[in-house]
This record gives sequence, C-alpha cells and structure tokens, in this order.
Amino acid sequence: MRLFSIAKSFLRSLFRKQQIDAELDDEIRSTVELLADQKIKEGMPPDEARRAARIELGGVEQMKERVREASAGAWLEMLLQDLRFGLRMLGKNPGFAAIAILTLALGIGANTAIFSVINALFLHPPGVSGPARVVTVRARYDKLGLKNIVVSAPDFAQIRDSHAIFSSAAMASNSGFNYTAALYPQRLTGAGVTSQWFNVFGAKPVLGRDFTPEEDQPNANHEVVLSYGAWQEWFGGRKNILGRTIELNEQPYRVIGVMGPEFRWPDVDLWVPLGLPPQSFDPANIFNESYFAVARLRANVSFSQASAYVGLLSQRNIQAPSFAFGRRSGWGLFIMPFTQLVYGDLTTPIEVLSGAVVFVLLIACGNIAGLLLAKVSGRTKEIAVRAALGASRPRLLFQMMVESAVLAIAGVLVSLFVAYAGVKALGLAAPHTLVAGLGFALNSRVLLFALLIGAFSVALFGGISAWHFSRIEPAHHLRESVRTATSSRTQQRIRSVLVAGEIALGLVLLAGTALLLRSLSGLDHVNPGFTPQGVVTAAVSLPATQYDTQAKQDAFYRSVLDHLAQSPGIESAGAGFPLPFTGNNPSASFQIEGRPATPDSPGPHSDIRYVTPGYFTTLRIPLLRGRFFTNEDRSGSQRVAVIDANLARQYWPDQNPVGEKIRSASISSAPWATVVGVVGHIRFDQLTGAEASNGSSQSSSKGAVYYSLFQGGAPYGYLMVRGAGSSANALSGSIREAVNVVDTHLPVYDMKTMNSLIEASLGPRQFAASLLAVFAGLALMLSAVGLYGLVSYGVAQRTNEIGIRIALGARRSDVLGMILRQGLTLVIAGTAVGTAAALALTRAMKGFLYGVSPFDPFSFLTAAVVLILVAIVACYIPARRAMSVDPMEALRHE
Amino acid sequence: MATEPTNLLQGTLDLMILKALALQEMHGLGISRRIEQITKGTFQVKPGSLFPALHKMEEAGWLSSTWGESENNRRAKYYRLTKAGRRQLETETERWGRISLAIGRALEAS
Repeated sequence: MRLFSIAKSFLRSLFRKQQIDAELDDEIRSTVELLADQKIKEGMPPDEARRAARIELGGVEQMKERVREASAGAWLEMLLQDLRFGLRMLGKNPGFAAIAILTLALGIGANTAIFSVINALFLHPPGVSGPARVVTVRARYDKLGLKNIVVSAPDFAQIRDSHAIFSSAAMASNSGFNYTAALYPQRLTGAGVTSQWFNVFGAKPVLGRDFTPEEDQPNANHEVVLSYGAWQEWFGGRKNILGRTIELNEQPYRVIGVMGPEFRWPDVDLWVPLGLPPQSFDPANIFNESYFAVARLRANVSFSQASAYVGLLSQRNIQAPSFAFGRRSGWGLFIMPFTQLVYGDLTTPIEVLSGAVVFVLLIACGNIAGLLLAKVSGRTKEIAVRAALGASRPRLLFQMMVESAVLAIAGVLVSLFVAYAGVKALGLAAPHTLVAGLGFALNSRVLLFALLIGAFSVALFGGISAWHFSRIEPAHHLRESVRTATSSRTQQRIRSVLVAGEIALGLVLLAGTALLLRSLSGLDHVNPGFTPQGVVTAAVSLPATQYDTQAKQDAFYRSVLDHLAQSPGIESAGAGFPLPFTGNNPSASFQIEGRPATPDSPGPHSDIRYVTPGYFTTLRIPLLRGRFFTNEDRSGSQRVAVIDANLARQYWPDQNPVGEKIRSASISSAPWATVVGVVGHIRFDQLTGAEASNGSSQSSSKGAVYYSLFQGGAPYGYLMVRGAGSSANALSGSIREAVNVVDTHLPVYDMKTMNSLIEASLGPRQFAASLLAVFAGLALMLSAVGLYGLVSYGVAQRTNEIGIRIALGARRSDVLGMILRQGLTLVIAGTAVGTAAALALTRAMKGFLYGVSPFDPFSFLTAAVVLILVAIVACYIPARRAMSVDPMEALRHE
Repeated sequence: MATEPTNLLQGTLDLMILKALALQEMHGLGISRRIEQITKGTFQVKPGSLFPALHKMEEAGWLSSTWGESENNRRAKYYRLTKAGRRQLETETERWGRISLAIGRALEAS
C-alpha cells in the first residue's frame, strides 16, 4: 500500500512536474495575498502588509522545496535528480572522472584477481570437494636427510585400515602409456590408482563410473578412466567412448568412465587401477616407498586428532622388534593437508604478493581521496550558493554521496574487467608446474569482496566530501573577497600526507622488486656442477611387452646412441635415468664391502642413477678420479659403479674410493659393484637451498651412486645430446630421427633443452618477481599521478600569488625552483619513510633471495633513485606551467 | 507560549488539520487560523510546516482540493476531507484518546 502510493506520487511528479509546480506557485502566491489582506484588515498599510506576508511565508523556492520533500515519492525523485546531476558533473570533468574510475578499478581489480587466485589455490583447489578433509600421507627418515617423501604399500595399508580415522584412503603411482592409434605415436601420462582414489577427493565422473575394488587386482586391471582433457583431445569427446577398448602400451584397456574437467589430481591423461599384488603389502616392503597416498578424514575427526593418531601408529611400528632399520634411520609416518603439500611452496610468495597488492589498493584509495578533496573544495562557491538558495544540509550531503556513489559504482564495474583479465593473465603467466590443474576464474565470493570494497569506498569518499563541506557556511563563502585560504591549506596538507604515504608504499614495492631481480640474476650464474648450455634432452619409455628383456632394452639404447653418434652436428650423446631438474631423484640404501652395518646407524644411503658413458660427457660432469663408464661395462662383465664427490667425502673421507666395492642394500643377493671413478657433485633439483623434488625434501649434500645403464636395466629413460653449434630444433630432430629408425612406434616426448629445465625450476621465483614488478610499476604510476595532481592543483591555487611574485620581480626560474622544492620535500619525506618501512618488511622475503641480503644497499639505492626520478618528472611538468604564468592574467582572475 | 507542532509527532499536525476541516472546506491560511482557534492559541502552525503536510495528506488521499474564490474574491486553493479522510479522523481521534488515557494513568500512578 505504501509502495503503491510512493510509486503513484513518483510517477505523478515525473509526468506532471510542471503542472504541479505551477499550481504550487499559484497557491503560495494566493496565500501571500490572503495573508496580506488579513494584515490590511488589522490595520497595516498595504505595502507593509504585503512585505510582512511575504516574509512570514518565507522564500517561494524554499517553500516549494519543502513541499516537494514531503511527498511520498520524494526520495526517489531526489535520487534520480542527483544521479542526473552527478553524471552531468562528471561529464563536465571527464579527466577527473576517468582518472578516479581507472584508479579505483586498478586497485580493486588487482586485489580481486590476487585473492581469486589465493582462493583457488589454498581454499578451493578445483575438482576436490571439501578439500580441508583431504590429507596426504608422507614418510620421513630423519637420519637420512629425507624430510618428506612418498610412502610404501604397507604404510598405506595401515592408513587404509584405520577406518575410525579415515573414511577412505588411496594411493597412486605415476606411469606413462604409449598410445599408437593416433596419427603419430603419442605418450599419454597416467596414474595407477587404487579403487578409492576418486572417492577420497569426492569427485564423480561425468560419464560412466570409476573403479571397483575387484578391478584393482594384479591381472584384472585393464580398465581405464579418461580425463576430460584427454577425452576431448584424443577421443573426440564422443559419448560412445564408454565400453570401447583402446590400446595402451600395446595392451587392451576398456574405457569405463570419464572424469569432469576440473578434476586433475594428478594432472594426467588417464587413470588405471594400480593392481598391486598382495606381496606388495608384505611388511618387509615397508621401506620401499614409491606411492603418493591420500586419505579423507572422517567427518568427526579433526586434523590434529588424525595427526596424533598417525604419530602413534609410527611409534608402534618403530617399537616392533623387526623394525631395526626404521629405528636406525629415524623413520616416521605423518600426514599433511593436501593443499599444503601441493601448494606449500607458494605460501611465502603469495603472502608477499598479497601485501603488495594491498599497498596498491591503499595508494589507489589515497589518490581518489585526494582527488575528491580537491574537487569538493573547488566547488565551495557553488555549494555555498546552493545552500543559500535553500538546499538543506541533508539534501546537499545526499547529493554529494550520490556523486561519490556514481564514481564508486563505475569504478567497481571497470574493476570487474580488470580483475577478469588479471586472473586470466595470472593463469597464463604462472609457471605450469605450480598451477597445473588449476582453473583460474573469478569466483562469487571474491566478487562479493570486490563489491564490499566498492561499498566501502563509497562510504569513505562520501564521508570525506561530507566532512569537508560540513564546514561550509554560505554567508562566509559568498563574500567576494574571501579566499578559501584556510580550508584549502588544510586540504593541501592532507593531500600532501596522502601523497607522501603513497610514495613510501611505492618505495617498499620497488625495493622488494629490486631485491628479487638481483637475486634472480645471481641465480643465473650459479654453477650447477655441469654444463647445461647446448644440451637437448628427450624422454622415452619402452613398453614392457616389446622390450621384455634387458638385452632388448640395451639394444635399443645402443642403437639409438650409435645412430646419434653418427649424426652430423652432434658432439656427444648419452642416456640415463634420472635427468637433473626433471623432478625425479630416487635414492636407496647401499652397503660397503668390509663395513658391516652398525646397529644404531641406518647405513649408507645415496641418490641412485643409471647412466651410459655419454651421460657424463654430454652433460660435462667433471671426472675427478678414475674413469667414466665405457661401452665394455655391460651385462655379463664386471659390475661397476661411479660415485660423486659428496659420497666420496661422506664415506671415504681419507682414502681413495676407487676399487672399493658397494652393492644395493634393498635387493638381497645383489652383486657387488666396484667403484671405478669419482665425478663432481651436481645440483639435481634446485640451484640453491635444500634439494626438493615432487614435494620431497632432502639435504643437498647427499651423494650419488651411478650405475651403468647396461648393467641395470632401464625401461624408461632420457636421451641427451650436445651439439657443436647446432640449434635446439636441429638437435631434437636428430633425436627423433634416431629413435624412429630404431623403433617407428615409439613416441619421443618431453623434448626440452637442459637450460629450460633449469629455468623451470626457477619458475616460482621468476613468477613472483614479475608479479611484484607489475605491482611496483602500478604503484609507481599511481603515486606519480597523485603527486602530479597535487602539484598541479597547488599551482592552480597559487596562480594569483605567482602572478604577484613575478610582477614584483621574481625570476621565472625562482618560481620553478619554489614549486619543485615543495614537491621534492614531499618526495624525500616519502622516500625516507618508505625506506624505513622497506627495511622492516623485506626480511619476509629472506627465504626467497639468493646471494642477496634483504637489506642490500644497492637494491634500495636503485629503488630510491627510480622513485625520485619519476617524482621529479611528475613535479616538473606542473612546475613548468607555473613558470609560464602571465602576471596580468593571474591578477585579473580571482 | 506557542508550541511549534513539528516539534511533536508528525501525526499530531495531521490530526489537527483533519479536525479543522471536519466541518467545512478551507484554504491553507484558513486552516492555520482554525487550528489556532480550536486549540485556543496553543498551536500556531507556520506555513512552512502546513503546506508540506497538506500536500502529503492530499497525496495520501485524505484531502482533496479545488480552486475557488475567497472572501475578498481572491483565488485560493480550498481543501476538504474525503471519505477516507473522515475515516482517518475517527481512527486517529480514537487512538489519541487511548494514548492520552494511558499516559494520564501512568502519571497518576505512584
């Protein structure tokens, strides 16, 4: 009913505005006359009576305004009127509007983008329902320097059987499949998973079903679930894929399901049942770790409860009498939140970037506050006139709020575009390893966040306007000669503080960026222990059906390497597993002949690699003692091994290890191998810091044992070539050709230069550096705009004064100096504060910087210089305008 | 001492206007004089409060207006109660009676 009368009154005022207005006019005039009549009757002279009547009734316009305000639809009409007025005012000052809107959009948009990404990464990894309930199960060996590695099947079995704590558990092992039915032989990535894998993540297939426990058996595991991407790319996204049989690694697999587009754990093309035989779960296998295990907590179990439980499980295992090796090596089982394992590396950079982006937002808000402040005080006269004409204070306040709201809404709308573009750009720019499987999209919660910021800015800016002009007294400001000196001085002071603050924030960001960039360039010069430049690598995987004996595998590698050796432009070629900087780094225990195991130490432990002689020469790993492998070191001849300098130092500190005998400790009755050479230690996963791969961490001083590829068997491995002056394309072509000649059906994949592999390991740092640089650039630009605006405005305000000075004889250069000096004082102040703040804050980046202290003076100096240079330009342009003030013009204006 | 009605509840002014128009139609000035009359000088309604109230009540449908001629042959806008206005007058009168009774009792209580 009320709504109806509001609508009615509003529509009436809309369509019959002039008529109503005219009627009001008439009514008021008639009332004046009636009142005058009354007074005349009481004895007043007619003129006086009419004047008295008019005074009593008050101003006609004011009366009309009050009547209008009283009508029911009044506020709606007011709102529209203010909206129109606000838009018109903005239209008159497009520059101001554009700068304000863009500034707001940049600040809000950047924040929304970053927080969308954070949300995706840490709170809602795609394809997982209830990610807080999913944990990974990890193992560690404190005394072997292995802090966080995958687990064994018996480890997993213990978790799986703890039904009270975990509602489901599963493990996975990465594998690859050769798929030959496409145009060229393709290498599809895959994972063998136990039947509960998808349940742990709460993921449902979009087509078909996932695995049953019966299918997760050694010889029954020929079903496959496709990933959405693989389904679209290799099988045309056709619904009739269900039930079809495809050939993988020359074995038939029946397609039983397809997963949805977000589910990418792990980021593979397909999943097959793991199908482990019961022997794998034999307790003796407890130290053979090779599986990635996950579990889902029961609804009523907290993470700390589950963690404590697993700790107890660990303890119980350790106390078992047969667990000697575990005790000696400091073995333990523990759980970690799934998101932390997958994204843990990103915590610090994300924190740094969140801070940076909030700085940008603060600077943006500072600029807008300054702009609005300037705008409002510029309209003091206008507001005074309107107040004198009868606009009530609340009315004026409302109108200012509406103007701010229009700006804020426009800013929020544009910020949506900025945020969307920002999120997409982040997704593209982020290193693939970090964000594999992530769908980068704006999400509704973050959108809400943006809207909240928008609302907050309306309140803030409206509040500023309201505060400022609530001090306006119409009578005072309408007087001609009054200069709004005092109010503009306070305003200038506030703006100066704002700009100084922005400059300080900008300096912090610049300093951080400088530090990161210096650190990165330092990393470029770290010596990894071998020469990656000029080496091209590729991966192959020999299907078990075709290459079922070691002899066949050996033959393959020999043929390929022979072929490569004869190819033009190739200096050396080799093969082996693993390759540095590919994320694989297997390790194992070994025994030294003549050194029986002592009861409390876990025994010798090393990284373990299978290589051909060419591996060393192609990568240019230096030989320190003895010899490399030769082609004579093959199956049937004496078993040999080469160790690296770290292993030599660790286990043979005072003697020559060449001639010593070692053998694998895990394989019983493994033959002894004679150490024939010592090579230099090489960096294998990271250029600096603790080596880590696949989320495993180990100390970088661990030594390595190399065995001859032809004495160990390698169903999968890497080929590498070094070319004398050939291009990477030519080299990869040679590899492909060589493999093709030996086996036309074998796919060659992951073709990469060694350099790009190393650079990829720097991915997170480079990403963080580029992002920080973008934010620092934004901050710098916004601060410069703010400074420019401030100085410009100051010059405009003081045009009069400048004119007087020049007329009185001041030189133009003096004027320039005066303006510049004032601007630069501000800049210096801001830089000083910023430097202090940066010194306090950059220690947060410590873990990220290599070879550079967080207080590196060179970086700080560079940052300060860049900032001051930009600031000088920002001050100089308006200062030049001050120089060219014509005193006559200036004095004529108010 | 005259009390400015807008210091009291807005509804009080509305009620006074309705009462003033109960017997005959009047123009704005006349309404103001009548209110002064029937309240024995306690309420002196300023035009600044009267006209907004009149227009609001007209919008609400309690009053209707026509242009007519005053005593001195001046044009003036005359207001009269509508049926809804009469109903509103009854309702408000009764409500006001209840309120004043309650307040009176409260003040007498110890």
